[in-house]
Order: sequence, then structure tokens, then C-alpha cells
Amino acid sequence: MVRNHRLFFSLLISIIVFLPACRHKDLPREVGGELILLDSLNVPVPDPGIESSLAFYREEFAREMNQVVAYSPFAMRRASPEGLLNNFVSDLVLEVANELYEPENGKGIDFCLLNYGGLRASLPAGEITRSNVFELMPFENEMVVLTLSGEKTLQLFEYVAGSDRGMPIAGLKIGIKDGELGHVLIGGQAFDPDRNYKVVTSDYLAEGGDRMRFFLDPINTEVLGMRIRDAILMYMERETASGNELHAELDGRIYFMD
Amino acid sequence: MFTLSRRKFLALAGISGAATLSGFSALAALKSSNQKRLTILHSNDTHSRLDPFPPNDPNFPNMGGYARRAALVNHLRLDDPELLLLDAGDYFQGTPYFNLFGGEAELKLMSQMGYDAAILGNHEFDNGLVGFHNVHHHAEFPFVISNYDFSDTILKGVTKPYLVLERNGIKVGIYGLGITLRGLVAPSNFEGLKYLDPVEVARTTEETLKNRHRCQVIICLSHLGFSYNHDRPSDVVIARETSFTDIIIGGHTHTLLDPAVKEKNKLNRDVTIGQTGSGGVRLGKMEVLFDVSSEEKNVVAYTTKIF
Repeated sequence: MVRNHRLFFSLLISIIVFLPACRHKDLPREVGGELILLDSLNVPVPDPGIESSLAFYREEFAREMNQVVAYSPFAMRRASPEGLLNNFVSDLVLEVANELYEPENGKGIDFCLLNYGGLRASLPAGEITRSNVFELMPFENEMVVLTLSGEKTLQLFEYVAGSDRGMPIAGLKIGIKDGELGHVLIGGQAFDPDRNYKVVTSDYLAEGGDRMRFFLDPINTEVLGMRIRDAILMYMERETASGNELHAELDGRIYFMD
Repeated sequence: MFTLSRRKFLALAGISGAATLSGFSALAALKSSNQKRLTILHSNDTHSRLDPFPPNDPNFPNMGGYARRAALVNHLRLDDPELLLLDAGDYFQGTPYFNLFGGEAELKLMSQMGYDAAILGNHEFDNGLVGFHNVHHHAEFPFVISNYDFSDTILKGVTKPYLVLERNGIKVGIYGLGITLRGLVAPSNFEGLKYLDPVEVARTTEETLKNRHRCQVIICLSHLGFSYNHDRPSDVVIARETSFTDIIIGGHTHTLLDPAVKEKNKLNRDVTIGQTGSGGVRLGKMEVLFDVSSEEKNVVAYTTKIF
């Protein structure tokens, strides 16, 4: 049953408008619209039919998702210009990607760029379940390694510096001056516009998602064959097996220059 | 028209209990005059929230959930058995239910709830055209989208450009406008889909519904988003640029419109735009009242407040 006495107090605005004139009979009409909050006060008893259909999915969910994969001493949230979650995910993606990557020319991946919007949920303090990881990274996106020209790499740095959202990066240190790129280090080295750089990112961004146009038409694209979510799970399970809690820190990899 | 004081309303509630509550406005009006009514319930961006939000959620603790939505819908059906239940897209993605079952659970439970139609949001493409194709048969309701041309894809024939339904003796036309997927969805996940201009498609489709099918109410299900600073197509743009669309049920921008807002269309008539936020925390309810006996064409604009 529904006890929606709150609805009495909600405002109902109704306006009579005209039907557009046309050949058949027109009728004046009134349109009113309101929203009803689905809380336990308005709807104390959920529908038993839906509850019973949900039971199967809930059981499967519990079996697949409630397993604890890691322990974190603190909660990790995304933040701008830099957040614990941004750094945690980008660092582990760069690490796992470099382990998987077998470069033709012997040169490893220089840095990692993901997107702030792609971090879909925070990680809680304490036990981390598979469900937490799926909510953090629900998409099926895979890791890809792109080789970019110096020119496109510079465009990438300018994008990171110009964004008002903290982009998850690893292997880079970027200084922002007046909303623009002020300084950059790649693996502790100065940027060389005459060489190519290798970046690991998601296939979604590599295809130009989030307006990352510098990723389009790269010199080379190499697929690592692992989803970002699976990289996170693998990394966490490995840390746990080694007896480690998760670790992340703010290290000023994106900073404002005075 | 009817007016009821707050006191009288509360008295009514006390006497006859919950069952009378939902239909207060229309029911009272219907008894006093020769009117027809169309009730529209709507959701958007429910994002695989099959369960209510967890108790420790900072924004919506214990709120939402499919079973609670179903209970409310069923309750409102006691008052209007022929009500319309519509969704404006992005029922997929957001909880691991989607990762585990690929959308099967959402579509089965929406069918059980008795949805009449849904549009495709951008997250319906998260597992590609194939991913949607794999689960679409779990839906016992039609997918309505007018500006996606799937004819060169695996989804050919899976969606409808518009619907014509009759409810409480009122002929209702429903069409759907989807957002451009470029930049939102990986290109490989919608390869072969032809995107058609939403404003143009809205005009031709509303014309068809109005003149060919003689629809008395025309509803646009939209996943364009409510409004943008720049020139992008949105619900506000569609409202202003069309002539026969009465109601826009929106999504994508997770906008909370309470109450629904009005925009003037090309003929300077009102278009009502609704959107319910996200996560299935709220259900939208609209009512359209028809005065059958009156053939007058005078504009009467008024506001009823239940206070």
C-alpha cells in the first residue's frame, strides 16, 4: 500500500492550454506535472511480485559481488586537481600495463591518462568488495597503448592543464599557470617535442571520448587485451595476497603554480 | 473547475484512506464535469538501480528501487487503470546488475511493472549494438526512437519510430528523440547507426501523428537532455521548435523538474517538460484533462494550488 499523504502538500500547477486548431474536434486541456519521492514514507511496502523476481538476481549478485578483494586504510575519492582515487587508479593502470606490454622497440609506456568522469564511484575505507570495483569502473573499457607525436603529446598536456576536472594521470607532473600548461615533466624528464611518447589509456578515450581529440589518428595503437576493471581487480588481489593494504597518496602531480 | 481547500482534502483523506489520495485532482474534476483524463507516469536515468540506494548513501539513503516504484505504479493504477508508464532512457549501467546480466534484469522487471514504452539512452549502447540485441527480447514493451536509423545494423526492426495508443478514449501519439552518440559512446559500439537531426525528425513525426493518425495528445520521449548553454538540441529547443508536441518526457541531464516546466512552442502554446533526476528516486506523474463537452476555444490559464 501507498501512504502518499505528502502528495497533498505538494504543489500541483495546472494550466489550461488550447488544442491546436485543425479539422477534427478540438478539446481544451489541462496538463499538470509533479514528482513523487520513492521513500519508505510514501511507499512503505515494496511490490511483492517485483521483490520475488529480484530474488534470483540478488542471489547471483551476492555470490559474484560480495567477495572481499582488498583492504584500504582510508576512503578514496576522486577530486580536482588531484585525488587519492585519481592517483590510485592511474598508477596501477600504468604499472599493470607496463607489465603486460611487450614493446617492439624495447621502449615502455611513458605515462597514463584516464578521465575523471570514468571514475564512477568512491572506494570506502576498510574492506573493498568486487561490487565496489564494479561501481568504480562499470564500463567494459580496455587498456590501449597509443604512440603519439610530440605535437599531440603537447596537446594532451594542455588538455589536462586546461580541464577544470582533475584528470587521473601517472608518470607525469603538470604545473598549471593561469589555467594553462605552465610546466611538465614526463618520468621526471623535460618534455621533448621532437620525440614520440607512449601513453596508456582506455579504448573509449582513444576513440576520442571526452573530447580527447589528440588521441585520434595516433602513430600506433596497441591493444593490451585487458579491461581496466580487470586490471584493478588483479592489482588488488595481488596486493592482498602479498599481505598489503591498498596505498595511495597525493603527491602534487597536478599543481597550481604561483 | 474544481477547487478544494486543504482542510477539505485532509478530511477526505481521513475518511477514505490511501486509495483516494492519488487521484485527487482529476477524479474530483471528472465527477463534476464531462471530462476525459490521461495519466502519464515517467522515469529516466534509473541506471540499473534495481535495489534502493544503500542506507549509507549520502544523497538518497534507502530511496528508490524497482519494487517500490512498482508498488506506487500499481497503486496509481487503482485510480486510473489505463495510465501510461514511460521511460526516457539510461535504464542500463550504474550497478553491477548490469555487468552481471547485461540489462536482462532491468528489461524483465520493467516489463513486469507494465511499461508501455521506453526510448534508448546512450548507456543502452554500453555493450554495443550486439549487447542490446542480446537482451532486447526480455522487454515486453516497445522501444521508441525516431531519429536513430538502425536499418544497416543488427538492431534493424527492433525499435519503432512512433507509437499510437488509445487511453481512456484519448488517442495518444508517442515519438522518441535520442542524443547524438558521438563523444558519449565508443564509435565501435554504434557502428552503422545513422543519426538524424532531432529537430527535423520531431517536426515530421509530430505532423504524422497529428494529421495522419489524428492523435489528441502528442508525447515526445527524449534523451537529449533538458537544456544547454550552447546551441545543442535539447528538450527546451524541441519544445520551442515544434508545433503539435504537448509533452516532453526527458532524461540524460539528470535534471529535477518539480513541478514540470512549461515552454512556448512555435504556435505560442504551452509544452510541458518533465524529468525526474536519476537513480529511480522519484517517479514523475502528469495528468492531461480534456473537456469533452466544451467546444470553446478561449484561452483560460489558471493555477490550482493544493494549499
